[in-house]
Amino acid sequence: MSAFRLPVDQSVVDILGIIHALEMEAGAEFSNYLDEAFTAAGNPEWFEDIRHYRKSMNEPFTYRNQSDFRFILSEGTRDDSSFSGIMPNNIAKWVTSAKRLLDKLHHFHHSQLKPDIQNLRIVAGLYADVTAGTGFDVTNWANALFSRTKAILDGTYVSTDTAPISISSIPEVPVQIVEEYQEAIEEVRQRPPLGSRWEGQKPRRKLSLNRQTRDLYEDGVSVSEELGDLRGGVLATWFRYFPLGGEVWVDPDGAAMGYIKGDARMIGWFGETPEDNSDRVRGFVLPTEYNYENGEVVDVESGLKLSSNTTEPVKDLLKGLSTAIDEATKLNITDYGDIFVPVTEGKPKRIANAHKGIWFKGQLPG
Amino acid sequence: MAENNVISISKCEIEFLEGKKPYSGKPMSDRKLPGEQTGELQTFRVTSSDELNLIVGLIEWPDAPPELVPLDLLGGLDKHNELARRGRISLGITADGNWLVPLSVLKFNPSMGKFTLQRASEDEIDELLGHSFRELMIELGAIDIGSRQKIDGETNNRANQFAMIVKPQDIESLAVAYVVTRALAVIKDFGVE
Repeated sequence: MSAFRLPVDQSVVDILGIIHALEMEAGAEFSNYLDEAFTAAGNPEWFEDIRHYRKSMNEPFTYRNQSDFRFILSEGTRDDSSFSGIMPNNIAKWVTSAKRLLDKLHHFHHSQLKPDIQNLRIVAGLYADVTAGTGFDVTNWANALFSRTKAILDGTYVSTDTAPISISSIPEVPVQIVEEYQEAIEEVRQRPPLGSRWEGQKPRRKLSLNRQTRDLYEDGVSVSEELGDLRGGVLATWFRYFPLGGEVWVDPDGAAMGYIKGDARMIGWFGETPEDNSDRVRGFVLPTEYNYENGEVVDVESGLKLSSNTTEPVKDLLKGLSTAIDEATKLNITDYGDIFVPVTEGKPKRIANAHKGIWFKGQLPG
Repeated sequence: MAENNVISISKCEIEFLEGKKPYSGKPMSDRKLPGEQTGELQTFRVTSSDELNLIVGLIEWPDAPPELVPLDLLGGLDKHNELARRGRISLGITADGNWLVPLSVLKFNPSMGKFTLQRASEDEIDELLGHSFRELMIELGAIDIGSRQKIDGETNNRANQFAMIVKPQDIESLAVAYVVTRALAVIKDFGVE
């Protein structure tokens, strides 16, 4: 057991460190167990055997060692899993939780899992599920972590000691993960998703968005003509996030901010939205998971269908998805509205973009 | 008088902004009814030597009398906030289709501590302008000016109210009337002892 650290606040580096340490710990404990089990069964080269088997099946296999927890989760959730009958626990919801945890770890390694207490609680819960009944130390850690994060979120946790409750010191989170996360966090801070809190300085250019005339003014003169063909789309976006209109401040790159109930919020772009036509997935992945089935997006947890749970028509979005993906495909979405199919190899690609009007009510910012 | 779409009136300048556009909202007369109407908006800017910068609109509603409405106070002193909050002019339509402009004035009300719309005499309005309001309006094209009884034959409790009649959409006359009875009244602290 290398660490038993619990968070005391929302420190991003601590959260990243704990997620990383949990992955290491779970990987080591499962790997040791599997190694003993396979060796006892006369197959000490089990990891190499699995690698060859997956390659022979033309399946991607990039795991470099048997203690990579993503490898264990991936292999353990396959229909033809080599771990069948060997795993230390065999609870009914193992596969479901393991698949969800595998997705979270992929998001984590792509700097797309928002490093906050809410996600740490979700991850802790999934670790508790997949390690339940194993007798591993990581189970106790996951359970303690789940209780602590819940207490922090409920506001009932009061820090009494800044020292971590640890058996030994927490492993350093790899510099690369921290740097990539810092980059991702900075990108969000600079230009947050529409509807999110504006973190920067108030821009100098002041415009006025008028609800009655559905037009945009600078010093009383309409400036919406400057937008050319983009005028209709830009104004629709601004009114979506800033429905009552009012004063709007615009940065030189076009990022626009308005005050909603006293909070500065990103409401749109004066001009083209950067990376509108790119396939890069921006931002952090929402915790909700979705399936694309029968031409519909379905919220896995609630079972709700997209087409009957939005404030604006979704026909175009569903049509776009139908040409981009197959039936029965799992989907994720980020806080920027970038929709993608989760992948186990490489970085995911954006297949569509949704705004809050054409996504499940209340799930996207704004 | 209008040169480059600008008229000077005492301490104020009126700049007429080009174009008409749709305007969605509730007319004064229907403000308690549900739903909105979409009228047609023309705007002008009122600026003054004491930093006032106010956009005012003439809105022609499909199912209500036209109105002059302060739209956007872009700059000014604290007291100019009075112009952003009140001072709308709801016009009447005369039997022959012209527009009747009630000439009440924003005047400081000491008991309420703010400017409110009050009746004013022709002399008081002349004083605000600095010369004859009647002559100016007739020169600009107003059809008649005087009591509502005299110019429109009204016999109700508003019969003695000072008003004028202009041709429909005569935005120059309307803007000048707005400036004298609203902007200049506040700028010159009308009613403040």
